[in-house]
Amino acid sequence: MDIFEEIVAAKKSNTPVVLATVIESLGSAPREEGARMLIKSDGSIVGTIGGGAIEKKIIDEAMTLMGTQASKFVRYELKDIGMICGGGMSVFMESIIQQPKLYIFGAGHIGSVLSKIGKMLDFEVTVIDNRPDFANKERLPWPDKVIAEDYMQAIEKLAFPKNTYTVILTHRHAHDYEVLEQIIEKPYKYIGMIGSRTKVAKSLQQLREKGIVEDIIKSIHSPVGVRIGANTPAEIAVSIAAEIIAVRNNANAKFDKIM
Amino acid sequence: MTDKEIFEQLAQFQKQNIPVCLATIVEAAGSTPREVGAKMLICADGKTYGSIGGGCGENQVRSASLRCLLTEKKPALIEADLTDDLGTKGGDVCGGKMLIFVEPFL
Amino acid sequence: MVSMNIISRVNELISNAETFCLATVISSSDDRITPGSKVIIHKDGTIEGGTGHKETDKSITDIALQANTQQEKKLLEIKAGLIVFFDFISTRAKLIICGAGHIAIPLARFAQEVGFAVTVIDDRPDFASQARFPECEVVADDFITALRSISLNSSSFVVIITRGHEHDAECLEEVVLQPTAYIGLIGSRRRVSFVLEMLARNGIPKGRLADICTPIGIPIGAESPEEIALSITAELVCVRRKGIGQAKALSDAVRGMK
Repeated sequence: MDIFEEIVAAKKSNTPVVLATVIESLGSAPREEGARMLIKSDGSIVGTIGGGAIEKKIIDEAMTLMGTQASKFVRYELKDIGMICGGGMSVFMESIIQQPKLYIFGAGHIGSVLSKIGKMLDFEVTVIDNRPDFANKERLPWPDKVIAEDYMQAIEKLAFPKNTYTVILTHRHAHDYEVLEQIIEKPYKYIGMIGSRTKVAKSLQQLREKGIVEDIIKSIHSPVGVRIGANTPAEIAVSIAAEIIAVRNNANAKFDKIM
Repeated sequence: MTDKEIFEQLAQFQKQNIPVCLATIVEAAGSTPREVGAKMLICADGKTYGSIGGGCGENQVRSASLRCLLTEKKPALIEADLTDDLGTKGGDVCGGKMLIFVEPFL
Repeated sequence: MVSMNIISRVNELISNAETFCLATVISSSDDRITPGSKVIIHKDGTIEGGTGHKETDKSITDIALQANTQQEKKLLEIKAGLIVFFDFISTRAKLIICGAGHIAIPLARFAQEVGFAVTVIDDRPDFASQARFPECEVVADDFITALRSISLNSSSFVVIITRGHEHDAECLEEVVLQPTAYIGLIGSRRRVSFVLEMLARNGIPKGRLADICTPIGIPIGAESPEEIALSITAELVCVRRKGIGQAKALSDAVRGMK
């Protein structure tokens, strides 16, 4: 596979990679502009930007970017890093990450609109509901996947990488808690749970009694969504999507305090 | 569904002489899932249009509407108490009370 | 029992984009007044339908007119034993998007999801096309002509996201003195202050300029066109539900903490 096929494969299998591209090559730098190298998460490489010490440096640098959303511009004087050939090299490194996952538990009105919006915001969207009447492709053509299955069974089969966003809005409070209890133990970037204050307080108390630490409980976004006075299911979906974006773009800390 | 869609659908049913019940949330205390003014239409076959908040209280409203449509044949004000902890029995816990006005259009 | 008439009147009024109060008798200890009977109260105080009891209709009308500014839907016991529900029916708020570029596409879609009737205008027919904006009203004409063809009212939302600050300025100048629920202006601090200064020089009162929402959208760190469109949509919802003052205060507070 060439580099581009590797990138596609990495995206498909949800593994992060970093692409390094030489954008400036001076003197006797080993490779010309446009040379590319792909660094995989285990440190192995595809292609080369010239081997030797500089390549080692770039691989190390790539490992720090792996799985993040960052990109980086680096410039090396070859002499400085002990290479015999004089010259310099500028390399642009971009982290290619898996598409963030959005799991929506509950295929009601809000879940349906949220799945549509989530898709437009470049999430890999999966909607899960234990009612086949609600969770089907006819009703929900937008998400990548629609699962009609018992919530616990569905969760067992789902992957939970670090950049997983989960919104819990099933039609039954008992199910909401069931789902929350399971996914709180897994890696996540965002968990939002719908429900009235009393409903939610009960769930959180149950978690506490189970021994879940306060920091984790505090990380649960509930009441869910930014405080824009959302009223209708579509408005609530927008408020949840806005909260998710604030988290994805690390703008949420200030947000939580006020909105 | 918007008010517009609800009233259009209602007019449609009237035109076709299909009996239907209009349920409107007229008061909500505590934390309830939908706002005052939210409407839902319920047909005699149990089919519904619009929503007054999904699971929470909707079943209570649906059965009251059917009663009002099929036997009472006059409007009724019903109270959906969502504070009872039905959660353990697989029900819904919303933590609030709603008053819903159900009126038959026969 | 409610006549078919009043429901079709409600429908007519809704399709004429009118805002009105629909009062319904919920319970009555007076046999002459049947629960379910309805009164439509217009903004000007005229009524349609009725409870069959003149005096009651009059008190219902008075209450409806008083409540009209807040438009808060509520249940009231208007006299002993007579409970009436006051429902305010308003039609879809209108969103006018000036500028049919890459943010306009997701914005139109999100705004439609939350119930706005969307009109998109741009002077470039390639951009302002029905194909790019399905289910929207699309006007391909120069901005001023297009805006003048649209009647604005207190439930109109205007988002100005044209391709250049001259166009932003002309759109803003055209709408800023008209009644609107919201005007949002996109752009960098420099671009925005350029536009606002230009309007101030043209004699637009400062107070009116202060109502313009800029930077546009709620602060969620939006970067991609879709994210920006979402942040604008959230702001539209916030203004529609909570009013412009509160929406601005919240956004400013979040931005102020940076």
